[in-house]
Parts: sequence; C-alpha cells; structure tokens
Amino acid sequence: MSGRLHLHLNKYLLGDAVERAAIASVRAIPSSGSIASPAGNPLELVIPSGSAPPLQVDLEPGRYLVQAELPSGDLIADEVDIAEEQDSVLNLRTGDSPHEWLSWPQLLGRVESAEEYYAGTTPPVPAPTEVGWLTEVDPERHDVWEILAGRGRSEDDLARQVFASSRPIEPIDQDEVAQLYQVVADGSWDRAALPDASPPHPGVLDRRYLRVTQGPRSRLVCLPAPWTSLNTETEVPIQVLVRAGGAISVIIRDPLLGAALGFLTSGSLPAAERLFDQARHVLYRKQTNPLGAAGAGYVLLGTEQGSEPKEWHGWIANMLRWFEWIPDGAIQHAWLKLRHRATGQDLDDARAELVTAYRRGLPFYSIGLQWLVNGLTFFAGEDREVARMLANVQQVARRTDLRETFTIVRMPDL
Amino acid sequence: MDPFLVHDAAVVGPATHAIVIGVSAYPHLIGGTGPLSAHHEGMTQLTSASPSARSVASWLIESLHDPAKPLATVALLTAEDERRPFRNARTGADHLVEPATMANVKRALRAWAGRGASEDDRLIFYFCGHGIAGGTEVSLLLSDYGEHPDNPMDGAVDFGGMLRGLEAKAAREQCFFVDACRTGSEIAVAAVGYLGDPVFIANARNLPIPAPPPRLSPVYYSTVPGHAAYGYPDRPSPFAEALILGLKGAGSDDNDGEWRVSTTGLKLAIDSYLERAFGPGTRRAQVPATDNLSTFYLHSLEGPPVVDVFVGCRPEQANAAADLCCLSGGVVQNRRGPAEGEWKLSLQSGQYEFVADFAAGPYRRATRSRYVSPPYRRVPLEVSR
Repeated sequence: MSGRLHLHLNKYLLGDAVERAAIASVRAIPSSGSIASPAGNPLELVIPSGSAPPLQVDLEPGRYLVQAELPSGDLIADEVDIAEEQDSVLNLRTGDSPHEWLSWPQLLGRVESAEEYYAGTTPPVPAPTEVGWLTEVDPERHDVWEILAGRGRSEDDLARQVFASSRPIEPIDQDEVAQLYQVVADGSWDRAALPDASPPHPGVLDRRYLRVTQGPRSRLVCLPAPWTSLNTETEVPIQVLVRAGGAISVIIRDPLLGAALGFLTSGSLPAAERLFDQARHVLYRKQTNPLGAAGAGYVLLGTEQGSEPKEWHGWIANMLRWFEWIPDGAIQHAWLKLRHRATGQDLDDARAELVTAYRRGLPFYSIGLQWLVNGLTFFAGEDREVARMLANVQQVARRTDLRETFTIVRMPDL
Repeated sequence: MDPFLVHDAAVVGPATHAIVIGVSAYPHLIGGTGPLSAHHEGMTQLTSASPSARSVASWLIESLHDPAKPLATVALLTAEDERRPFRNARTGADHLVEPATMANVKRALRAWAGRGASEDDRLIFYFCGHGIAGGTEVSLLLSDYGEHPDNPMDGAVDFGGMLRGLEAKAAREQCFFVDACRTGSEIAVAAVGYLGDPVFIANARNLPIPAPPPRLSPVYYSTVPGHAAYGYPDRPSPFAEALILGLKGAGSDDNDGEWRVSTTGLKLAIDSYLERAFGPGTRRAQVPATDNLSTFYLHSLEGPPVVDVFVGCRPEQANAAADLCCLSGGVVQNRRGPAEGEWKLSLQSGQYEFVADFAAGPYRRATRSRYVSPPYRRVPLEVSR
C-alpha cells in the first residue's frame, strides 16, 4: 500500500499555471526517532508552481526529504511524512517577490527576493529610460555585425537609419529601481505598438528587436518572438525587465519552458535538460515553437555524451534548413558537424554553416554568440573571410551580456 | 622528471592529471619588486592566490579518489614573495615549486595536456590570480605580466583560446576552475582581441578525424563576467574554500548507492557556499558562474559526507536566549548556549533532532527532526512565547 504526495512550489506567478517550475529530488529518510539508513534511490521530479495543480506522486509510507533546485540557483528543502492510503501536501516555500509583477523575474533569478531587494542599499539613480520597437533592422540589407561592432562609420546614414528609429512603448509596471514591459499580452500582439512588417520576406518571419535607452547608453534586445505555447499553441507574453542599474532581462511567461530558460541562464544545462521535458520533445515540436526548439538544441548539444548518432541530430538539421530567420539552428548544426566529424568534408560543412549563421544575423540566444565565436575560431587562421567575421562577432560578444538567456547588445555610438 | 610535478604516481589505465597555478606576486604591478608596468590598471599584489593553489593541490593529492580515473599527477606553479617548498602529503617529500612565469606555465600546460593521452583520461585545471576580461573572454595574468612595455599581455594566458585549443587533446573529460576577476580592462580592449597566449591553437585542421567522443569540459568561474573575485588575507580564497568543501562532500550524492561528487553537485555546493560566504540577506558580492556544465563524477567519498548545518530560532532574537542542542539517536552531539545569530555546526549526513531550550522566558521549548544531507541544511526552529 502507498500514500500520495501532492508536491507544489508555492509561488504566485500572475495566475500562470506553471507546470514545470523546478527540479526536485524526493528521497526516503529515517522516520523521527529512528537512525536506520534510508533505502532506495531518490526520485527526480519536475514540480509545478503558480496556479498549476500540485504534482501527485505515490510513495511508500515513511518520511521523505524533498530538495528542490530553482531556476534562480536557489535550493530549498523540506520533509514530509507519507501515511498509508492518505494524502500529504508539501508546498515548498521560496523567497517572496518584491512585487507580484516581479514574480516571474524573481523565480528566474533576475530579481532578488524581497528581503534582498529592500536590503537597505541606496537604489541607483534611475536614468531616463526609453524602450521602443526598432523598425528597420533587416539582416538582408545590413551587416548587423559590422554596425554593432562599431565598425560602421558615424556618418553612415544607413547605420543611423537602422538604430535611430523606434516606436516607444510604456511599462506595464514600475517602481524606483525596475520597469517591466510586456510586449505580447493575452496571447495576441499589441498591434498598435508594433512596426509594420517591412520589408516583406515571403515565407520568412520578421524578427523583432527592442531598443532600450538609458541616459547615453542604448541596447539592442533580440526578442524571442513569436514564442508559442506547446500547450495552447498561442503566443505567450514576453516580459522585458529594465533595472535602474542597467541590467535588462527577457522573461518568457511560458508555463512549460519559461523556467527551463532560467536554468539555461544560470549555466546549468543538465538541469535545463530535465526541465525542457527531456528537450527532445520540444525539438520535435519545432513547427509549433521554433524558438523553444532552438533553446532545446543548445541544451541537447551542450549535454551530449557519446559518439553514437542520436535521433535529434536530424532535427537540428531541420532547424538549419527550415528556419532561416533563426541563426541559432545554423550554429548548432555547425557544432554537430564539428563534433561528429567523420571526414574533412564535415569540417568544410561546419565552416559553411558558421558563415551562414553569421549572415543570418544575431543569434536569439546569447549562448549562441559564444558558440559562434568558438566555432569561427577554428577556421579563422586560414580563412580571411572567417577571420573578418570572427573579429566582428568577438566585438559584439564584448558588448553582450552573456548572463542573459537572450541576446542583448550594447549599441555603439552612431 | 617534469620540474613542475609535485605529485607523480604510477597509474595503470585511465588517470586524472591536474595542474594548479597560484599567482600572488606580480613584480610589475603595484607593490611589486620590479619596474611598475604602465598597464597596472590599479592591480596590486595578492595574498590569497598562492595559499589557494597550495590548498587545492594538497587536497587533490591527499584526498581525490576516483577508482575509475585515479590521480596520477599534479603540477604546481606559484608566484610568491619568496620560493617555498611544497610538501606532498602522501609521500612526505618536499618539492621546490617553480615560479608561475609565462614560459614555465606554457611548458607545464603542454606537458599536462600531453599526459592526458587517452580519451578516458581526465584533466583538471585550477588558476588563482589576477584576471582581466575583454567581454566574455578572460586573460589569466602570470607573474611576468607587464614585464614587456611593448606588450604586457606577453605574460597572460588567453583562457578562452586555451579552452578551445584543448578540444584537440585526447582526454575527453576536462574540468576547469578559474578563480580570478573578470572585470573589463582597458588593456584587453586596446589589444583588440589579443588576450594573451592561448598556448594551444584552435585550428579545425588539427582536430582528429574521425572525431573522438564529445568533450565534457565544465568551467567553474569564481565570478560572473564583468565582476571581481575576492580573496582573504593569507588564506585560501572563498572560491577555493568552496571548491574544497564541495569536493569534500558538499557536492556529493548517494544516488547510486555510494557517496560521490559530481560536476553538477559541485556547482550547487560552490554556489551555495559562496552565497553564504558573503552573508545572507544582503546583495551578493561574488556570484560564481559555470559554462559547459555537463555531468560526470569526479570523486568518491569513503563514507557519508560532513555537511554544514545552520540552526536558528524564528524569531531570530530568540537565539540570544536559547540553549541549542543537536541529538542523534537520543544522544547529545553538540550544544550551544545563548548567543546572537545562527549556530553553524558540521554533521555527518544523517538524521538528527534539534532542540531550542529556554532557561527563562519568554519563549517555549521547540524541537525539530531534520535529515542532514548535502550541500547544506538550514534548520529553523519556530519558537512561541
């Protein structure tokens, strides 16, 4: 006979039913007053939060230690008794958010808990902040790398045109140290604030960028849009958090993948893999959410072990072929070729795909920028074109906040 | 005999090879013994780097145990005010430690990578000293940084370049620990991409064909890009302490029946230790970072690990009146009288009973049973009036 554990991460997440919020291990421990050694391997579980119902697990009667690793990097632990044929509830508690509207950023570690947020330090003086959609970025017409590397001449009208025109949007919430923007709400684009889709690319989606200006400093934010829920097949809201101190974070309010992206940010690819629903599933559904699939690709490649071919290798190839507007697919396939090279032709293919990735523009994921640098380095020594590209990508990488999941680049003075 | 080795044990089959570098003395930086470099950028002598390297090397020699890849060699290079011997805790032999100059480090790195001659070997790299960054890339500064006015970076290792270049080496498990600042540097920016000598050149034509299994190469940085790392005066740095505590057991699990430290468990242990090292409830002064994290086991423990435990009353002011006690199987293990703050104790992983007693009011006795396991355990005792 067994009892049932109802396990949940207790956090309000704006009413979102977050099915996959954290990773927990559940292990049997001696009951109170006993010193007997625990038996059996721990269960590894993905636990829900927000308004999602608790995860239900049938367990043998006894006492259990539950340890959870959160996307923020925080660890929480608690113990629970399971009685025969009875239900037990464990609501794991994490730090409180400074505001409800900062609950998602706090879950993902982009904002500290309320205790630290109000720790008594003087908040930085906020610079006047302006956030707007960029209307003219088009990798087909411009070498975005050249411009962002600061190699575009200041008198270059083209460069000015690319980065000077934006349509401002307003924050949905703010306090003295943070502003929160939400660029997709309630599953639909805010058409009034979006630029027209121009120039038209038949079959190719236009990418969306924000420009965030704080005082003299401007940054380009690669928006991972559209981001489509695998559950509902509708777009989920994308939040952009702008701190007075200068930090910018992009948060995807995706009940399935949003938290996994936090693990990607904290450098914990093995944890991200578990939360990405074994990642393969996400990559398989790339037609529904190609940007999510691109994230899964980094996770799978980054944690791959063994030389044998895997089913998902073919799906990475499809990312390269089917989604020209996502440079990350080309970067990943180049690395797949490099890593599983069987002949010299594979090296040539890897080089060609890295060049393709460069020409497709900034990767959506900042980890892709690092992988692009690493990949181009292998070919730059004997190839002037690659060397030029590498110099530009390195320069952009220096301007990029690699602690963030998505690519955010400090713009040069134009 | 490699002059940089302070440990050299015969191992048949796959083995672990470590290189440990600690640079405290920089003759050409502020307070140094040589001509001051124009490119010092405010950097001074360090007191924590060499003790960190020595303690890491000592721990590896004395305690690292992986039956699948036993420790074969440890190379140690330091830069200190005066050269001091290093005593190998296993053999008792004293070794004169070679200075961490560019020429020496280059030779030592190449010999180290060469020792990892089979796919099943493991390489471990640890550096503590000054680091400067150009964006995401970090330069590790050796003792002769700044010696040459025409190119101060002659005395620096381009860590990112080295990491990429090591892809061509045979060992498929390579583990890197970088205990250095990653703050932006004018010299790194002015050098336009030249961040020192990568020691190993990344070139696609050097890669073996067909490819060996994917390399697993986690990198543990003591701090995130753009931020400083800190040291303690004349003792190992917080990161070095966190690393050793993690290896001792805070990064371990017994998921497969025996206590072992994995690369992912080590990350959790380092993260949680550094968070506590800089004080709870405050903005963290040093946040560690990890790249390329993948999972493999590094170290097997002989038995259950010793775990840091933090016991405290809620509300916190009750600590000042509480007699705290820890029991195992009804037997008292530890006690603490009334005092401010949490009670930190180290306990072997297992089941314990924690008690807060009050000789005089206004609080009532509180007890809590807690299972103690890595990486650490916090035991709040809710007391009522």
